[in-house]
Amino acid sequence: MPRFPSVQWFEAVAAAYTADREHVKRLGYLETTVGVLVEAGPSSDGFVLDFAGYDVRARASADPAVESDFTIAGDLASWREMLASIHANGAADLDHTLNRLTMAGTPLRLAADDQLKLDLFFRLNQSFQAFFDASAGVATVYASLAPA
Amino acid sequence: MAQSPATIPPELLKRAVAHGWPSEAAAADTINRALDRGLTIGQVGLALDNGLTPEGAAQLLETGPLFTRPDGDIFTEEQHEYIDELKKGRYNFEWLNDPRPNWGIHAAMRDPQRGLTLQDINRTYAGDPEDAPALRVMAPRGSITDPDVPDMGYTYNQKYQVWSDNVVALYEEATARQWSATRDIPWDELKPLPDDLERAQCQIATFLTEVEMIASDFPAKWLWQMNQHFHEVKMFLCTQAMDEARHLEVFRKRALANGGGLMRCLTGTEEFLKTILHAPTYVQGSFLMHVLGEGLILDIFRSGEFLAKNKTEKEIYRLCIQDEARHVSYGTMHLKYFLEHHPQREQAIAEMHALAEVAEMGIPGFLTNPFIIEPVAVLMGDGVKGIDKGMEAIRMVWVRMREEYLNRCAIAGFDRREITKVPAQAPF
Repeated sequence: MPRFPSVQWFEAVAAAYTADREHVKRLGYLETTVGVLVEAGPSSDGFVLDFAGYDVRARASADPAVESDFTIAGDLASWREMLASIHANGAADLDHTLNRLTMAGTPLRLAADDQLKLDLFFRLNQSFQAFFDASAGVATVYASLAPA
Repeated sequence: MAQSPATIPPELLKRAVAHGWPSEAAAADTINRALDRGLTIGQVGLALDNGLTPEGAAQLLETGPLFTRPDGDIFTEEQHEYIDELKKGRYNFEWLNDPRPNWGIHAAMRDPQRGLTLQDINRTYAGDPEDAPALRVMAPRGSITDPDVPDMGYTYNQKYQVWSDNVVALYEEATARQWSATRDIPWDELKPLPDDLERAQCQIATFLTEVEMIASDFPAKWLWQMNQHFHEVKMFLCTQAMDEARHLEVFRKRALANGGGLMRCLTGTEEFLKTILHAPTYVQGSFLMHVLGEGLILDIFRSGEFLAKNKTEKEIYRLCIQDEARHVSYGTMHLKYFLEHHPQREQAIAEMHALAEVAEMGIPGFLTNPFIIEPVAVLMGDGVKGIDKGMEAIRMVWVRMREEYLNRCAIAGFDRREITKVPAQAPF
């Protein structure tokens, strides 16, 4: 059972996401790199998701902001709450979509070098939401939350 | 049959002068030639009202009839000759034997899973538009044209006037991400809402139904004036027109599907739309619409997704976010290309700053409009009782709308950050 956050977890989600090829194709082709930053206390885990056509590859990254078009960042508890909601409902509920969680800059936040790269988050949003919704089918173990 | 000058209504001659014709006498001369060619007074009047210039009229009148044929014969002389050859079993085959070197092209798919893209064919052949194509024709870029092809009368014949470096990719993205407001929205998830929330949703849906179609009308107005050499721009603008038709459709459906209805439309909104529709140049209208207007609406869509009370609204707004962001992206990069390649760059930048100075007042106008911000605040506060809490979100939206607009201007090489008069914070 993959642990969140880890490359193995993102690859398991990528496999679930791309399994329904027709759905992924229907959402639209995309070529972009998305950084994911999961902050846990003083440390953080960084990843880059390479969306290449209808496939996704995940890799660890020491600095996802540098290696991606834009980054979605937030603390482990917020990521965990979003993923637990997706797991419970089969997809993000009204309060846990990527746009909902990032819009106010909290609990998740978006960052990019420039606005045009940030706008990729909006242009291709259905694909990113579908990617994380695919985690509903991935049994997940969560890293421990840092003590308060 | 020709009409004498005396039969031309004086009012028509006055209209011609009002539309910029040099004199009533010159207009009468041209109108008489048009009447000789079989046009009616009504048709001439319509053409004048649609902006027919003396130069445009001269060009039209100099264009020969499509076919010249003897009375009572449906075939031209040339067609008769070809028919005679066919009867003898002889074919023309000029098209088959043309030696000019545009044959043997093999555009290859970079990614067979995706299919054959515009980028693929542009990499292979005639993919780089000229800055100023010599011809003004519909013949495809890279094809062989006859030497006597007519001039279509395009007025936008310079690449910098229409181009953006991301337009080819955006066209492919647009066609890949089309959706249906009938099929792809889970309308059965729509549930009755308390009256204040339904009114808030319907006021926003009414506003969006009103404003979205400007982004169909505007490109449609300019499309035919763009040289077809830049076909990718025209194709992208066609996708935009379709996107916005769908936005009108989906918000009209939302307003009428859940016990509410179409609500109030304001004069100020119509005035802003009119400013876009009647912008004197394409780049000015594009800046007003793509960069400023659609940038603001993109944030309203994000807010709509944030505030959605059911999966129906969630899906509506999320799909619209994608469409709108493409349009904003084109507009931003078009402004950049325009300013970087304009032959009188400094003057062009100064003119755009003068436009922005006035147009930016639309941002505070938008965000002090009670018919926009109060419904959003009511949805944010989960009802009229929570409107004060909701207004906190409006303050946040103010800051972000301004910031994103300024960021897009900066990308275009059009820095407004130090000179904009839009307050950094909401004044309430």
